[in-house]
Amino acid sequence: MSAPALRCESLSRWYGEVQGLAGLTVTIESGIIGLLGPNGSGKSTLMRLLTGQIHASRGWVEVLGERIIPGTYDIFRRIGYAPGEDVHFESERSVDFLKLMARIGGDSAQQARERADKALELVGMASKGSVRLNAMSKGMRQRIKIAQALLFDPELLLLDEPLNGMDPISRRKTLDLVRDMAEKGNTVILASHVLHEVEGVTDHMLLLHHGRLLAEGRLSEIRELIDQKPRRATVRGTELSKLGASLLADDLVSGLEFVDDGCIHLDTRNLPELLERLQIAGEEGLIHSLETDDQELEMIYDMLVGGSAR
Amino acid sequence: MNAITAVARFSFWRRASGLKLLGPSLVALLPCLMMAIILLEEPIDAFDLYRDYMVPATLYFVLPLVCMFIMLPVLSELYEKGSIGYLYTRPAPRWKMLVGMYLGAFAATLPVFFIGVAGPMLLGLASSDSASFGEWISLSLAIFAILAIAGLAYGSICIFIGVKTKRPIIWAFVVLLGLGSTMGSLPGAGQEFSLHYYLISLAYKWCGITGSKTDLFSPLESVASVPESLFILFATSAAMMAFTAVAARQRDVL
Repeated sequence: MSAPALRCESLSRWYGEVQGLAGLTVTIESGIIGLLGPNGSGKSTLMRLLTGQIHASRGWVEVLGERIIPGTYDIFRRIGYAPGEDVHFESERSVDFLKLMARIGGDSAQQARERADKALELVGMASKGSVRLNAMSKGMRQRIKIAQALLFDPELLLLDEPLNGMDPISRRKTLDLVRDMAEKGNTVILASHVLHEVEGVTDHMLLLHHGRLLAEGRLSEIRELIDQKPRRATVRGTELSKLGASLLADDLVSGLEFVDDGCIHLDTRNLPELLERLQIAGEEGLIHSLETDDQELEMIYDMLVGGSAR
Repeated sequence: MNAITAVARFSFWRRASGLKLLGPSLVALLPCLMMAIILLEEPIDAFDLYRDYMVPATLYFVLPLVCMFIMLPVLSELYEKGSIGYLYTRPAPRWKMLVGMYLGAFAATLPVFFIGVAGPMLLGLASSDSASFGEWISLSLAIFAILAIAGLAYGSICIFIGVKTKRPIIWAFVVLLGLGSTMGSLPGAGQEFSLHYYLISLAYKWCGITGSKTDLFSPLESVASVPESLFILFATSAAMMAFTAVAARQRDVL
């Protein structure tokens, strides 16, 4: 029997007086797992502990059966990690950055080139290999971060807020990639503060709040309890007035507010369907970026902690 | 070796691409500028001027500043931006990345040291009657070798400071300019605790300076032997890199 993808026991981390993660005990076997929580809930702290970047104040963590401590390195042939931090290798061409990451892993120049090309193709950036990272949009750099995580065909993929700054098409492609990874039998841990991002690919979630595990299990069970409170999406793009009118006509939005020529707020009681429509508009090139608030997540917190979450 | 060479190449171009070496190169040319001004105003032999005044000035002022400019940011920048996490989550031991970073940045100091040595030599050749071309080449090679060895030693200290502390600039000033240049130029037993003591000792032996004309710096009361100086400088480099590897395991990537 193979080892679980992840096993933590009383895993804790304090930053001075501040509690980053408190006594997390959890076992994850395989599949796609959504790691949900608002900013400061402990998601990135957990990711850093899983990758040996920080020391645990108490407890321990095993990844793919190996105990992780700072300095552990062999395991990273089996783990791919895309950090939440931006890529600050500014002047590097994306293919060179990926080659560097592969060569550090022990590849020859030729092997590194092949791996880099393959990873670029996987994230749909095959034609952008010669573009320098500082000339890329944030969404493109996010995809490069994912590409470097995929270099060694990892069994476990750790993605920290991977969809931040991505346009709708890139989001869809990234989530497709996550699904593909899981279908091949790999495990993906997807950290996010936006519920519907994670919900699109998995029903299995860990919900963190103030460094503690608030809930673990099936999202659908909790989701059924959420009422139909309006949620807001912020869309940037072109021909937004036309788009807004069409959404109003189809009763998909209950209100809209033009921030400026290229930006519009949409209020809806049916976020999943609205996102589907915006996805189609994105594929037609009308939408440059899309952000949704994380009220859904806050509602779940309200339910779980009796309205004191915030 | 792939990891070390790949990181070294990355580190070198990170420090040497674009105009990043312009500032350190201008610092390295300051002794040359001073030499030109003095030669215009004083009837002094260029070879003596360079050997007895500018070589110590290069070691006391130029060397620590160049090391700080080029080698200090190599790791401290990556830690500050959190980008070091990309390197530390690769399937390779951290020490290989640290050694690669160190060697790459050290390689980037060499063109700067070369400019700092070649400038005065060309100026001297154009103005001096007393020294032959061979003497200038020999002196220049000697000072270049001393600077390179010093770059290894002070560079390893910069790398250590970059990993160990969150205020690298302050610590670099304290260690390189305080414990290095200043303590090494003061008379007394404390001089021997400075790496500069061993660098100046090498300069006495290899460049033939005596300190007799150097009013700025206290002449050495006793000169360390070449093997002793080389041992201290190389051992310091190795020890600092070992400490750096320990510090890299201890420091969290935040």
